[in-house]
Amino acid sequence: MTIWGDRRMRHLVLVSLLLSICGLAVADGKISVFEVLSRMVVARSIAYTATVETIRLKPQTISATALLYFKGGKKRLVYGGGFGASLVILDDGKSVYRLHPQWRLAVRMPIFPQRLNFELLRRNYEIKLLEPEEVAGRDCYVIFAQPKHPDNPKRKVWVDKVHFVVLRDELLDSDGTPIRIFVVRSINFNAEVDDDLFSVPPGWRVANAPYRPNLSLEEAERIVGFKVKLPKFVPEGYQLAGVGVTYCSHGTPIVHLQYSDGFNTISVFERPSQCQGLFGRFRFRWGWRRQQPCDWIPQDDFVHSQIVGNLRVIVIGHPSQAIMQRIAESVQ
Amino acid sequence: MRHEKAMQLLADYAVGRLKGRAKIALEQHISECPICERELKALQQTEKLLRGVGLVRPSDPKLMLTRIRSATTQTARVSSRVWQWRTFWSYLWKPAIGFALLALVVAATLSIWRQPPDHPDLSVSYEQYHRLVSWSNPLGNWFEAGLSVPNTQP
Repeated sequence: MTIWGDRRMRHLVLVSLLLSICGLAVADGKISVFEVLSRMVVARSIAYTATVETIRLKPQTISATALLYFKGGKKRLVYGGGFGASLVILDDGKSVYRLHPQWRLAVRMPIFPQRLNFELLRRNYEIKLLEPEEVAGRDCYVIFAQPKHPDNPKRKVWVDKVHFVVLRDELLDSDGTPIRIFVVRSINFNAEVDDDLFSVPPGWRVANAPYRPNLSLEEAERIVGFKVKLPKFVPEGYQLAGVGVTYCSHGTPIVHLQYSDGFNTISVFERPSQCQGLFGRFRFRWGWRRQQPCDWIPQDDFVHSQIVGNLRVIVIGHPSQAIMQRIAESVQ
Repeated sequence: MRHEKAMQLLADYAVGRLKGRAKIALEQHISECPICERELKALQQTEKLLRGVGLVRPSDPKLMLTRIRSATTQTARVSSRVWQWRTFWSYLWKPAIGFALLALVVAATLSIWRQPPDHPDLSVSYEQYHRLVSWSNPLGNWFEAGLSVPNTQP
């Protein structure tokens, strides 16, 4: 395989080209918005610890605070939780794991190749730099992305001027009201970050989450055994970015269609309307256990679920409920 | 003639006591039934043997009668005990199976509600997969992963 044939190498060469073109502007003391974005992508050789907060403002405000460890492209997110609940996600650069300390078990998640797609961004957004602002005591570039399709959400991103790390990220609806905010409350670029933080602790069992990413539509159909129907309607600017297959806890196959407009993602899941599990919602595993029923989908402003023909279609994303319903109904 | 009836009459036929229609019907049945034919031959041989032995008179007929009675009573006792058990189970097997099934249902129901499980469910939710899609994207929504966890400081 040639260097150009390698997808990652091609990506790196394109980013380097973009950086060198933008180099002239930097020498002049100015920086373009696309250089900020490019530097964000390659800003991997740094190490820091941060306290980050994610706030969702609709339908009701909920938030989650986490400790983020970052080193050379590897990540560890530690969320605290009430009543002993907690969530640890780590990325060792090759795989993403969710840790279950009570069972000394790490569940390996699939790796998705989706990265920042500059071409798609340019096509769908007017992106500009606003006046610099300060976040967590650090000077930031402020990127504002105005969608070319007015129904799609807007985006405002604060990027550290020195290390090109995202320090604040706001998703705004078409009226400009925030839907979701990600903010770094404090960050330390001088911290010693231990490499052991990014690997599964020794002696732990590793199990694979039942997911097959990066499939073609034909491959997915062959695996699930039913005809996958693409939605005839998706919001303007979105295109199919990936296809995967997973299974519910009873073994019923589910197709995952991923749509992206460059900034935002919409997931469309399709599965047979009836769960094929032997005992329906119950399953024998070292004793009878109550399983999450397949028909139970969280009631949320960002999730829409309905039966269309012989399929159950679940749409997840940031469009309004009406648009997600339209997407689901267009699966015919 | 039915086979069971023929088997009952075979002994009388073998010693020449059977007469009339019954005899004709039995002979017809024997000609068609190899089992009865075999049984008849065996009976006739036994009868021949007994005739050859002659009559034996017991020295003490009263003692013999007592012995016979005692032996038959013991056999009757054993057979009545077997009969009692059979009767007992014939009445009880249905309730016993019903009770066992009920116990199974109760045990299954109790184990369903028993918490917490000693093994995690490896399946990942729809929302988690949705967030994982953009894990490698610095502008993705990977940081929303913790929104399912009630918030407190880590």
